[in-house]
Parts: sequence; C-alpha cells; structure tokens
Amino acid sequence: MNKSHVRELVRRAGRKYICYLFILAPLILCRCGKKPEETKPAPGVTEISIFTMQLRPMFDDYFLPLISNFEKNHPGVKIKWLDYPATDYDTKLLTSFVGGNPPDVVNLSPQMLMDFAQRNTLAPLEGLVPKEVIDTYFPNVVRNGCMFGDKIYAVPWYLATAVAMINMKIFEEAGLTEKDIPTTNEELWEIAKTIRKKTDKFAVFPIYTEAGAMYGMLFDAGVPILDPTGKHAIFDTPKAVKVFKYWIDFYREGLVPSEALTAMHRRPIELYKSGKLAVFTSGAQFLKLVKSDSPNVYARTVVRPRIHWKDNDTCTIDVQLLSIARESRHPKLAAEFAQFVTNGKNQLDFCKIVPIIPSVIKAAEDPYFTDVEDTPIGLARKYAAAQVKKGVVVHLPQKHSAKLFKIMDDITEKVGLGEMTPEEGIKQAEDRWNEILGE
Amino acid sequence: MKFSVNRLRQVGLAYLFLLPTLVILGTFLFYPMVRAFLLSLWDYSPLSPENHFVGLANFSRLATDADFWQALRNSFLYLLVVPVIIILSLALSLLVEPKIPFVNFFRACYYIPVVTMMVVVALVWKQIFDTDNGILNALLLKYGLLGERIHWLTSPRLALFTIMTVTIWKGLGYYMVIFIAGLRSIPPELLEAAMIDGCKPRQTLFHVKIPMLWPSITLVAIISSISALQVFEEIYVMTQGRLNTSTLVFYIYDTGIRGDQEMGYACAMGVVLFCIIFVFTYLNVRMMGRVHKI
Repeated sequence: MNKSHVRELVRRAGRKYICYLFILAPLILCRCGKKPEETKPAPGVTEISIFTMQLRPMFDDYFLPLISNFEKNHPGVKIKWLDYPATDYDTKLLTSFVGGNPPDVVNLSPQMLMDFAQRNTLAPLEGLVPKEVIDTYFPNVVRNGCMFGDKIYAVPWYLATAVAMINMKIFEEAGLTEKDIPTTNEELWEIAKTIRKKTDKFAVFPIYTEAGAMYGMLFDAGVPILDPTGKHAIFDTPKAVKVFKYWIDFYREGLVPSEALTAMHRRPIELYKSGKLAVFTSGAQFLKLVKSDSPNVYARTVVRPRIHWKDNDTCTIDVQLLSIARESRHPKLAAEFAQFVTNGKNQLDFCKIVPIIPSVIKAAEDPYFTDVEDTPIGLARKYAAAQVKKGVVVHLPQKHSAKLFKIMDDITEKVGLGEMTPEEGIKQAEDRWNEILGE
Repeated sequence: MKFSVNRLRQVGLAYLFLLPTLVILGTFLFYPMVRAFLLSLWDYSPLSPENHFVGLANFSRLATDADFWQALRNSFLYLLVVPVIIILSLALSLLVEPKIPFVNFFRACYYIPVVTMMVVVALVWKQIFDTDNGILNALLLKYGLLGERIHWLTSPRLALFTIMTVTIWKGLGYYMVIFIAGLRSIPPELLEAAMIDGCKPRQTLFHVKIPMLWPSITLVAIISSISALQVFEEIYVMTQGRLNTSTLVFYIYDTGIRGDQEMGYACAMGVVLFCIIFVFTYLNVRMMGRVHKI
C-alpha cells in the first residue's frame, strides 16, 4: 500500500466521520437541549402535569419560580409544565386526551371548556375545590365561564377586557387630536373615513372570519342570540342587521385592509406594531408586545376604555381557566396546584409582569389597579380592571359550537364579498343555526 | 438439505433487514391507512360518547356537501400547476445543465426554495402579495404597470391562482434536478450524431432530448400531480381556505381536525382522495407510456 493509497483512505474515512457527525449532531443537540422537566420523575415522586397556552418563553421568569414554590411546599411533588402555541392548542390537547395521556391541570378558554366538558373529559370541581375558594373569584366569571350545566369545571385564572390603543402619530397625520378619539362605534366610523382619506393607513382592523366573529359583533352590541332554552337562535332582528351591516361596510367601503376578510387575530397586532393601524382594540396584555417590539409606536400610544355602542356598554371578558382532567391520577393535588396558581397573591404577581386582571376579587381591588402610573400600560390596567365588574364572558354553550361559528364565518365572507346582503346573511345564519340546534 | 438451510438463512436475513422498514411503514403508513378506511364507515369524533357505525352514510353525505364539491373542483383546478411546472423546470434544467461559469451557483439558487420550509415560504409570499402593503403591488404601481392595486390574495377569483404561483416557485428546483439527471443520462453519441446530421439546437431539443426525457417527464408529471392534489400548507397559511381556495386536503383538515372534529366524515373524504390519486396516477402512467411508445 503506497502513500497515496493511505492518503486516499484517510480522506475517505474523514469524509465518513464528517457524515456521521452531521447525522449525529442534531441528535446530540436535541439531547443537550432537553429541558429538565421533560425527564422522567424519580421513583417515589408524584408528578403533576400542566398544559398552558402560549406562555413560554415570555413568562418563564414568573412561572418557573411559581412551580418551584409549590414543589418546595409539597415535598415529593414534581410539576411538569408543557406550553403550546394558541394555534391548534385544542388539537394538541385533544390528542393527549385521545391518547390516554392528558395533563392533570389544563389551561382552557370558556369555549374549549364547553367542548371538553361535554366529552366527559374534565372533572367537576365539587369536592376538589372548597366553596370558600370558589367564592373568592368574580361570580360573573365563574357563572359565565367556568360552568357546564350546573357544575363548575374550572377555576378562573387571569382575565382581560379590551381597551382601545390609539396611535396618535396617525391621528395627527389625519389632522385629528386627542379630543377626536372615538368612544363609541358611531364615532369610530367617521374617524375611520377621515384617516383613510387623509393618510395611507387604516383606522381599524376587525376580524371577520375567525371563530364566529359575527357572534362577537352581535353579542357586543347586546343582540340576544339564543332564546332562554338555548335551543333556538333568535338573532334575526333589525338591530342585528344594523350591527352586522355596520362592520361589513368597513370592508365594503375599503376602510379596513383588504386582507381583513381572511385575517386571524394576530394580524391587527402586527399592523399596529408596524405603525399602520390607528386604533387597536384588544386586551391590555398586547401593549407589552407593542412596548417591546415597537417602542416608537408605544411612545405615541394613547390608551382609552374600550369603544362601545351608544346604547350598549356591556363589556366582554376574556378569561383563561384551569381545569382538572377526569383521568388525572392525582386530582386532589392537581386541584391544589390549580388553586395555588390562581390564588390572589400569585395572580397579582403575574399582573405586575403583564397587564392582565386577576380573577380573585380581592386581588383585583388592590391599589395596583387604581393608583396607576401615567403610561399606556398603567392606564390600560386601570381601565381593564374597572371594566371587569360589569363584564360578561363570551362563549356559546352549545354542542356544535364549532359548526355554528363556521356557518357565521362563511356567511360573513359571502356578505363581505357582496354575494348576499347583510339582511340575507343574518337570516340565513339564523336558519342554519336553527337547523343544527334542532338536531 | 445444506443448500436449503443456507437459502433459508439468506432469506431470513433478508427479511430481518427488511423488518425495521416494515415495522415503521406498518405503524405509520399501513395501519393508519386501514384505520382511516374503517373510520370512514363510522360517525366518529374523538372522545365523543355518540360514535356509531353508519356504513356508507358518510359517502352519501359527500354527494350533497357543496363545500366538498367546491374543494374537489379547486383540487382539480390546482392540477394546472403540473404543465407549468414541467415546462418551466425543463427550461431551467436546459439552462443550467451545460457546464458554464457559475452554473453551480445558479443551480443552488434554484434549489434553495425546495429546502425552505413551506410555511416560511408561504408567509413571505403572503407579505409580497399583500394588497395594501405588499411589495409586488407597490413596485407595479411605482413603475406605472398598474392603475390600481391587484387583490392577489383577497379576491376569490385570483387567490387560488396566486397560491399556485407559490407552489410552482417552490417546486421548480426539485423537478429541475430530476430533468438534469435525465439530460445527463442521454447517451452523448446520440447528441453527437444529431449534430453531425446537421440538427439545429431546437431540432435536437424536440427530436432527441425531449423524447429521451419521457421517463423523467412521466415521473415529474406523477409526482407534481400528486403534490398538487395534496396541497395544504400554502392554503392554510395564505388564506385559511377562505375566498374560494379550499382544496380537498384542506377541507379534510378543516372537517376532521378543526371545528367539530368529524373524523369519520373526514376519513371518507380521505378515501375519495386516495381513489382519485390512485386512478390519476394509473392513467398518467398508462398515457405517458403510450406516448413514449409512439
């Protein structure tokens, strides 16, 4: 074997090892990147798992010490925290339930609670959470958001009510001042026209075809959706037509971005952050994103209470809930952890990181929500907290809610495209709802 | 007897080597396929206490489901990308096959979209096609090529075709590589003979190269047709199936995974899609084989 042969062999071997390295590197890196909480618990350790929606990595600094505190007070207990993005969160959750491996504690929205409770996957909290603890939460939130039938299936966690965030730079470009900031939807229409006429930007960005947006529009205006039995849709009224037409006209008149008819709820935030949207009505927690991602826009942001209808000031509350899986092997411990996460002190600590409102009445009465600093986030906190007491949790307590919402979304699209009138749209939506509700 | 034992050992060893692949395919492909066929006969929703056998009711429901027919129509319409992809990727391969300076750079450029995630590609193109803030409309307006903004992704008439351009753009590099391999396998003496006989480049292309490329063209036609019938990510990211862009796979997802999770019904649609792709591929192979023989 001469030198050149040896060199060739070494070269080939080198190539081979480089190939191995490329194949193995991702595996090694994956192993290195594995989080400690994903490892198996030691023998004798009781593990409780919790699924949360879209909290990592932003709130690691809050939630990880919270978990450590609970573990410290409960020797032999380990909390496994799994967090997933909001998109397809319910699918992920469903897969875990179908696979027979559900989390012990699960973060749900009221609509998801309805879906999962009717599938008999959640444990009623009777006997798991004392009545005295339930009484510490806002009763309107427990009544509207945590119950399925006559049973409580969740403890409420953090709340959010919408506030109006105004980009004053766009207002000034359109020749408007703080005095012109709209307080009602009737005023918003005029402002939207002015802004569109005088700038290349938009005033508002309603969501039309996501999760039954039409339902939210009607609910927000105080239109009754179902009769008291819950078996008949009764929303085909002149008021519903007026409200629906109002929002559709924004699209038809070109006062909102063309993509609004297909956009999802994240899109308006992006547009507001990029300085192309004048009025963004949403939960105050999004201001934190605006502050971190677009400090210039945040600096020109003015916050006001949510824009409402002249004749209806009902405020809708978004609430995150914690439920216990029926199949949990440690339901008592899981319920204890859910109570710990949602207790007044821990929620208040959470609220100091992000502008959300605690679901515990006493915590929400803390001066932190009344004596606020004069910043957009401070004011947003104040307005949002003040709106909670008179708020209502929006959800549809129906079996085929997804199908019902889809009907509304499809019809909204057709009306937006001019394929039917708002009157026809509302009528058809009601008829199709009644067909399904009657099944 | 000794021979038989050896033979047996050989066969056993062969099956042993095949076993891992069989286990993986069986678990992740064949079992779900069979299960989907069975589920299509059930009114099935995960965790629902009301799941029950319905026979062929899911299939008869398809006949009256307007959304299904719309999605099916769109899926067939999406097959328009196939001839475009064949022509463009063939043209690209002819451009980058000869050894010219920087040819590897160009090949890499054309191939980059193939290895980029579709979700990323779709998000970027969504921004580009944005009616109000997209760069495409801005450029066309700036250079006076447009009088008004085009609703690339916000018009039900245009949206599906706009999404098709993204599929074409992303797939070109992949099919180009197949054609380059096909071009490389043409015996050089054939090309030399054509040159000696006085064939012009155009004549060489149509009378030598393309006939020799039929196997590659067949392959590209089949692969791209199947991909077109299974299109999903572009639709999901760019329009969420709205504005008349829902295709069959998207509708299957929308019915089975989102919303009320009617998995039995979604599986019935999956079975229909399977049959369509099966028949389509069979016809494709037969037709291309016949043309090749001519």
